[in-house]
Amino acid sequence: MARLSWYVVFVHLHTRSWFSFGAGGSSPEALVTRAAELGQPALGLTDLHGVYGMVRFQKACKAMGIHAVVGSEVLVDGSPLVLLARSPAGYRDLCSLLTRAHLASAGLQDGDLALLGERMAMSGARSVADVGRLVSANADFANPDSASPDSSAPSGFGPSDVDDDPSNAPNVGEIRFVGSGDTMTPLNILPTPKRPVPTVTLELLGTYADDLICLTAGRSGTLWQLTSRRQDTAAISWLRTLREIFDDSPGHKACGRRLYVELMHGLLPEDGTVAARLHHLACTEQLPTVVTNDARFATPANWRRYDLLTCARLNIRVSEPHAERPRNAEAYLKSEAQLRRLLPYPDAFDRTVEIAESCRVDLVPEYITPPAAIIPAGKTARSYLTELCDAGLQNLYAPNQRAAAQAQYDRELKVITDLELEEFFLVVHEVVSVARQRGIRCAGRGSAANSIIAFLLRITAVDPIRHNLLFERFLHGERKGTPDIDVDFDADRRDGVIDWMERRFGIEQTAMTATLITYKLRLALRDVAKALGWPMPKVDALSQTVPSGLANEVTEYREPIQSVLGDAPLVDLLLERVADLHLCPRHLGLHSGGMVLSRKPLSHFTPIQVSANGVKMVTFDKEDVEAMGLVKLDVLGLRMMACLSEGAALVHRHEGIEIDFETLPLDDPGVYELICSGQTVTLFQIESQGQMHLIAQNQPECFDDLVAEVALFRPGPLQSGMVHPFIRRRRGLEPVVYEHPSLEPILADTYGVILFQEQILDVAHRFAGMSLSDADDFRQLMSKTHDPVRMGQMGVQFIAGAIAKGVPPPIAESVFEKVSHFVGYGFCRSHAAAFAQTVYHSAWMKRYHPAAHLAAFMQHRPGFYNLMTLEEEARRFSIPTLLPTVDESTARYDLVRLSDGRLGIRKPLTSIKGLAEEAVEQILWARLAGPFRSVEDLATRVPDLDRRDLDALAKSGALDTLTGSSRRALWETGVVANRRDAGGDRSHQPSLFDMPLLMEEDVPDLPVLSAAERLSWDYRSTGAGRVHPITLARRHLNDMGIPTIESCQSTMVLPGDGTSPKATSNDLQGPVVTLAGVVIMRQRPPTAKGFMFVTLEDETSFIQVIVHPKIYEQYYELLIKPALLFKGPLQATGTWRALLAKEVWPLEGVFGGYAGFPSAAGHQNAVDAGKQVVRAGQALEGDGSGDDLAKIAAGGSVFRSQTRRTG
Amino acid sequence: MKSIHSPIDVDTDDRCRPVRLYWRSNTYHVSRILDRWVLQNRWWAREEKRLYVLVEASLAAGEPVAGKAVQHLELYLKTSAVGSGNEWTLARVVD
Repeated sequence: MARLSWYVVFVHLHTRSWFSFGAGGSSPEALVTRAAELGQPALGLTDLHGVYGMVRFQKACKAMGIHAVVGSEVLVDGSPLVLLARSPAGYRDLCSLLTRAHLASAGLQDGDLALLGERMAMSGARSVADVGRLVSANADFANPDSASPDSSAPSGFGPSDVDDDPSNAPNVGEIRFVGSGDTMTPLNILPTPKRPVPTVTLELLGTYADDLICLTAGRSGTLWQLTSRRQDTAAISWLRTLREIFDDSPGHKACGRRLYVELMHGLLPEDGTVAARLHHLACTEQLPTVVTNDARFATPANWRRYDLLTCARLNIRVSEPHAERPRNAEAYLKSEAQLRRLLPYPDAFDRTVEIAESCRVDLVPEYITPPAAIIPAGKTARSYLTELCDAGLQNLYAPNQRAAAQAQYDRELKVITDLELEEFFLVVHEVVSVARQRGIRCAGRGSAANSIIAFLLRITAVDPIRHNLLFERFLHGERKGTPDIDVDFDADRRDGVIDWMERRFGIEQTAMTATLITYKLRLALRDVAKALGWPMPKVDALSQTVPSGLANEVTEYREPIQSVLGDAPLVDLLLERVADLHLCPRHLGLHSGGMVLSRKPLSHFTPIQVSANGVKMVTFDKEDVEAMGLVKLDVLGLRMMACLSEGAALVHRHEGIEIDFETLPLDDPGVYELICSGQTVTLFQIESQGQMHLIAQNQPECFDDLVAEVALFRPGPLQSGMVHPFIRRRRGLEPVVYEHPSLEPILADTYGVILFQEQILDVAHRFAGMSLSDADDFRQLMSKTHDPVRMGQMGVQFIAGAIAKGVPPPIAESVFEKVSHFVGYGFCRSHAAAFAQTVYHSAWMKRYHPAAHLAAFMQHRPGFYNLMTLEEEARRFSIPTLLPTVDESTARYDLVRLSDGRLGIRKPLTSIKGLAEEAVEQILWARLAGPFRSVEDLATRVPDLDRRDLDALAKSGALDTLTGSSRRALWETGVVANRRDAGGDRSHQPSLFDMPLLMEEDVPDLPVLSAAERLSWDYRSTGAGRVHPITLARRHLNDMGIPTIESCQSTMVLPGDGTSPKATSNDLQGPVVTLAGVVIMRQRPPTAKGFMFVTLEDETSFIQVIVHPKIYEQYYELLIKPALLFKGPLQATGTWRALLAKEVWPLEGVFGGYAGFPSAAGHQNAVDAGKQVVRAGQALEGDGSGDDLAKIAAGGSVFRSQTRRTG
Repeated sequence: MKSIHSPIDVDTDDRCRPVRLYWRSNTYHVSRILDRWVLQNRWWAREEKRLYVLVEASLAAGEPVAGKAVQHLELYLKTSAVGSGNEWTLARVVD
């Protein structure tokens, strides 16, 4: 930094941004803009408990030509000090201090980060929940009141893994205040029931103080407090303590003064008096003074936001007084002149400039710091990379393909070398290689699949030459920052990969990336409404009235908001304040898989915190991490990977066939036949009803079709209306046209429509003449931010560029118009190709090894259908799903060879609800000594099984082989458990002289379970029945002439020869039918213009029911019921069928008839059957567990909330 | 300290600083401004900002002495009243 101009005599050094999480009111960018407006050439940012906004701050400073001073407000023994980093070493010390403060807050101590990693590795418990338990246990030890692993930072919303669910909003620490009014200060911060405020001790501060400058802090600082109470002796003592740390050590003197007495005047009572006393005290102690405004926001206009955030953080209403709330709007970035009028201490102004000049930390260098790769002796990173790639070239390309591959490889290698990313690629190669050596299935995805070098290193499995992938979407010479490489790992074994990475790269060099959670519409509405004093039921209702969206869109929802709040006078204020929280950070969360790998210890870059569920993470999100030059590798867990691995293992065990997915050809007609038949439940990415419809229209016949299929069903293509033109052109139903000849080479393989992100980049680069960097920005703007102002600017550049290349202006404008409609999320081709491989592999498994595939799918549940639907799907493939049994079941879904030679799926003991994993383990261990002979034998050999465990086993049918029936098993478990436990010693070994726990006369004659009881027990035990619930009602449905869903296939005759599913791409209208079933899914996506999609299932099949917005409003109360009848015309495309709902009845109502009248079916059995079906449906929705059911429940919630909004 | 909260007539200088005030039928000269501050709390109720001053005021010469000759008085002015005339409020009398 050049020396600051001589005429500048003031710099704000004590400033909080909204990255103080509820304790600051402006963005770093706004603060920098304000400082620049004031003509101040430097600005310090000192957020509370962290440096969360520092990268954005430094970027903004660089953009505005302002010198950035890096610091933080750190609590030392419970009261704040402002610490400024003078150098990179000082910043490292500041990060270390903050790390320790946050570790202590999480109940951990020095060195526990390493311990945490080791414990997790040793225990094999690297799941988030397991780690949380470890941390929780430690926290409990340190603080008996600290119990919850889900706790979050209390002062400031702070960095904690809290999702967007407001019910998870962190609580605020309890702080005891001394003093009155604004002079109160948190002198003693009490431990909270959750995570306490991060704080360090004076002793620890001394360890890290060498390159830090200390300001004594403003009104809440100890010095101010003591001085305001005229406790001069104590104040002097405090100052001398600090001076010992910052100035008096012989080794420190050379560094000059590093302790400054902070003078501020916030226009509150006695501020001037206290400042004068502090100045006097400093003179007495020969310490320099420095003026600040202890700023909390940029301008007075941000004060309301600051106060509201404070209230939200403290969980209080705006009408409640609190010492931490501002009493005026004066804590903004004031001009030097304003402050000079309040604080007549010229020296203290001069010091600010001196301090700013002495602080030099750059967090956003123009270079990358990749992790250190292992390079064999005598080789360089480049030579080793070349060696590996050359080998890959020989192995993966036939001789006649190598020339093209070599050319691409050479081009990429030059870019990678220029950007010095060789080691990054080597590191990712090492991670993937080690995973494979350990048998952990993995595959690179995302834009990395555009790279032939990634392919040659086997990081990705998609050949970019074969699939015409654009390398520049992944990396180009003008790229700023590191490229993203995402690798999917078998979800079951991903934690093992992370363990290895921590050990390989160093516990201090690795941590997960954070995710910045900003205020979105619902959360903002909730927090503001709460703060403005609406009662919680109103707040709950309010947040249900709006969809997930941006906070600044709130005015669009005035009507539904008023429907909840009425004409309350505060509604306008509510809307204003909600919009004001747009983009404001609320808390930090944990990134799903971004692992930072650093060459140097991460303390050089960032504090480390332990997330709410016990994972250590940096305090920056992925953009910040990238800006700092750090490298992040996305280590993602994909349950479908685990499903494929488990399926292959089952095939190997039961069929003796070894499956190598990587060598499977991608052109098996049988696989595409399966996909085109619409039997895509359990297939990766294409199992939804929407995808089934699309498949029926598109009829993919080769791998490229599958790539398009995956990419088509995304918000980008859907909203831009490109799906139908694509299908119609592909099917030859309309001509392929290009608006300009120069677009043909870019869009030829997608029939002239834009389907992939690469095509946007390519159009911007080749058609509109943008540089690759600008084109990449343009692509990001289209697919991510879609900022209208930037869109306008880019539009001008795009059109001008195209015209300059000879494109007529109307065509340039038209092409831009089409490109700009590619809004929202769309896939890049490489990502779609990588996903399409997994689609193909899952389809291949289902086609050729359906039993293994479905068993593995039930084990890992990577899709969104519930277990009942999965078991129905298995039945449709003639694969029986067998009950869990204590004789044969293990802890995982397995296959059994049936007497007729088929394979069946055996449900595991772990599928029984209420039976703990530990209990299952004990049963399996005991069974090694021989099969169980009776319930008594089981209860005796597994003494830890309590009454509930035994009952759960009995109800599920797992003891039927021992007792003959579930009801008898339940009776026996009750008798045996009571008598055994009455003896007092469960582990007592029976002798010859002991009476048996159960005798034949103990069991009376018991009635056989009715079908309805059996169904009920099944659902409550394992989440699925051995028969479909509609089976119970079928006879009565037949009486009413209601057909099965499967019969809809034959109800409609297709044009042409009547058998070809490819006859047309359009939906055909068919006859009106009435169908009955259990609702297994409700969806009302934002792109569907108010339509609702209900998936209705009976014992034969399922069908999509399309509910028009008018029908939706008319039948809203019925549509939330679990079992329904729909009447309306059928629609068909190929094998896909849907029903367009015109009328809706609840199944129960039809069977039950009207009060005083007989039911439609005419007798009591029908009424009972209807009720049983409904009960089963309710169990499915309300009593289920697991992701699938959770998703159904979530769907229901969205459905209800949106109903209120529109209704 | 006694809470008053009643309007008071105040003469100010050209920078809106109180120089003379009229209270309990007496005229007081402001001899010193001891402190000044700003309070602005109830923004959700659109409450205005208040500018406070704590003044040392002495009875003008010849005024009958009804109480203390020198008073410490806390006055405030709402921002909308700045420059519009005599809108001062006597908040408290400080012992």
